[in-house]
Amino acid sequence: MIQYTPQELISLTIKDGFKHRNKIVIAFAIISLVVMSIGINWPKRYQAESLIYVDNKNVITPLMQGAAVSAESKDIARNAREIILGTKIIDMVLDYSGWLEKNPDPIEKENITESIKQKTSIEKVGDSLIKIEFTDADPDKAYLTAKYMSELFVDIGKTNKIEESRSAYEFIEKQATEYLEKLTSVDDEIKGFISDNPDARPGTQEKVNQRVSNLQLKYEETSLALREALIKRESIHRQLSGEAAMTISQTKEGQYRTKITEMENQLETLLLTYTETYPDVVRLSRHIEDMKLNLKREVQMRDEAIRNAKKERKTYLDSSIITNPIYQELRSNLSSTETEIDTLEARLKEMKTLLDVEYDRMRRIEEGDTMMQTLTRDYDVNQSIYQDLVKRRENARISRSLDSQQKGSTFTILEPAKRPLIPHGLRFLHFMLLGVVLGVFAPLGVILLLIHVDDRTRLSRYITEEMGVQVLAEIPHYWTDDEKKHLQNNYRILAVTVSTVALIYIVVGGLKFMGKI
Amino acid sequence: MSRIEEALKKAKQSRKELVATSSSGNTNRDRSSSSGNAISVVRSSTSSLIKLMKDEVRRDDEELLNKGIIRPNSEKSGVTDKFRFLRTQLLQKSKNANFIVLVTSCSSGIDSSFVSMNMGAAFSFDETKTSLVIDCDFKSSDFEDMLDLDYELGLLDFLEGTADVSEIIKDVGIKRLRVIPSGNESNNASESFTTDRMKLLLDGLVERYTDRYVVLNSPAISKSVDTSILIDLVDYVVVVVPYGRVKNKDLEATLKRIDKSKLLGVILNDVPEWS
Repeated sequence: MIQYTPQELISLTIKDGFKHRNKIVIAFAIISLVVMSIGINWPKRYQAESLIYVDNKNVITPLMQGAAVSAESKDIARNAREIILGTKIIDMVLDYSGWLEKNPDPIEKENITESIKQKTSIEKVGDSLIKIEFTDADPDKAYLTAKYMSELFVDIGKTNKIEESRSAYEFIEKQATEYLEKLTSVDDEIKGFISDNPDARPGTQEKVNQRVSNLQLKYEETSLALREALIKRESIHRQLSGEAAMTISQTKEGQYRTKITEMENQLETLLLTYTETYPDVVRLSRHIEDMKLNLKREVQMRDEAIRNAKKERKTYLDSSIITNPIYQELRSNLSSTETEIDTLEARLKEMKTLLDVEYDRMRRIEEGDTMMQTLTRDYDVNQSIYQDLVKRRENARISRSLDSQQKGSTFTILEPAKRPLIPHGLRFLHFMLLGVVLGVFAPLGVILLLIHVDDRTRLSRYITEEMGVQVLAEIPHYWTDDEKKHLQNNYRILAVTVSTVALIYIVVGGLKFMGKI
Repeated sequence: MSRIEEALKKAKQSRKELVATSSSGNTNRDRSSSSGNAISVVRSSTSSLIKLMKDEVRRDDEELLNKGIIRPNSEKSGVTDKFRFLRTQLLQKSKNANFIVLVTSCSSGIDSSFVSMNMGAAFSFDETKTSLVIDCDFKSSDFEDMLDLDYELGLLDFLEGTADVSEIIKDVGIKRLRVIPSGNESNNASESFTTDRMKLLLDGLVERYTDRYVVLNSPAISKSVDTSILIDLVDYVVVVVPYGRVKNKDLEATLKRIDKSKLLGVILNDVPEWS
């Protein structure tokens, strides 16, 4: 398809327009007269409208806001349409607005109802406004129908609102009662549980923990002391193994023998130097003799004692044997350590028993805590919801009171319907103008379309650019004198045609505005 | 009778010999060939001959204008100027040498007579030039209506050998413009164009007078083989396209059938204009 520039399109339209001038003028005459005749017969339509303020929030939504999610309310215009065009209002409108004056049969009544529905326009204006429009050929009926539609809609809306408020209050009241029962039930359960489980009392857990902690500390200290005592006992045992229980003291017999030996050694030394007659040697020899006599006496005394003991069946205790004091002390320490160990072991056992008891108690407390938490959580949740519901119930009570007294009305007629004086929509003047405009532009549009669709050579540029051949000349149509005369006549006929159309417009328009048509 | 026509009569005998010679096989169009010599016998000072041309029939300009033929001083200066401009373009192409141009159209029902006739008329505006318009459209030409021609003899009669050149060149009452009408209808017109007589006629017509411009009006190229034959005999071809009546694809097909070296261009004719 050829791409034309705007200038080329204008030029070609003018050329083809001239070429088809007769068709254009005929089309103009036909179109303009036909449109005008449509305008003559176009029925008058009167439109009455009223504007209603509607709160698009239902009662339950603000009352339950934050506590429950209600289903989204429908578009208010759609709601209004359903209410207004519902059987209830339509029947009343039919009755009040004079639609049933001719006593139509049921089929006619149904047709009238459908007609009213089609002529009614309900649309949302802004957030909370509804415009009700009703269009009819009879201005009175248009007015009355729109009036009753809006009034009945508001009345029903208010009634519904009161009912809705009442329902909302009852709903919240019912919910509050239910939650109160739940709350009481959970409270009873908690009390019963605490009485059955003393360990479940508040603060018990801390006490038991403290007690277990103390016991563990003491147990550890005792364990440490026990380990120390055991080590001590071990050490004493080791010391005892190195000490004799008895020690032997030096007897007189032994002293004599030792002395004799020492003096004999001394004598031998002196004899190396001196003779046996040397005074010191003589004295020493005598002294030795004395000592030997003493020794002999002592041996005799001991033997006599042993014999006497045997006779008397008594244990002979040598006077030289005596008890070891270190041993005695260690034995004493060992004994006390053994006692300490026994004491500590007994204490540890007792502590272990106590700890086991406390651990059992802790387990019982934990189990009780879990149960207690569940019960407490239920209680808290129910209490929270109940308190919330109590507040909302008060709001609902106020809302119900307001609605019942119609002080919180959310349905108000802002602009009541008025009796329409001027027809609505397209009027005769519009048709006249439309006829002229269509008559002029429709044929030109067809020509423009033809230029685009019809693949015939009209443009030099196309021949030059697309076919690569030079256009030597564009020769206009040659008008011979005879043709010119015909053209002049043609112009006259076309002018007369256009003038006739204009005259018809003026005459018909005049008659129409005088109300004679 | 003009002196030119007398000279042509004198050459009658020579042309008879020429036809006999060309029919023996020399078909190439060569203006300097010996076949043209017989006619060139009468070649003389053309400018003086133009002055001597006698236009026996005189027509009123108004009558011509009403027949669709442009006149130099007419009120329809728009169309006249377009043809003047066209003439200038053709002369520029030929570098002022005389030539034979074929005017054809691209589909049947479209008559190129108006353009052919007025192209010839435009050449005749110049006092130093003459033009000869030959109607080669034997079936649908408007020539007779345009010029009120009522001649018995024409191109076909010449080609069939029943008439002499001097008998078919007609004075139509326009200064320096002559016309050869199509003549009596014949069933084998195409065959006549292929004879040497047509070629010789054209050669002779342009060679005899260097200021003579020959315009051939031919039928639509798509509908007649005559045009294709004639294209071989002419110097230039011009295609007439009436505004809004020919489909682009038909025009394209027509242009493809014409030798590019001879195709001068297209004339968009009958463009609607407020008057």
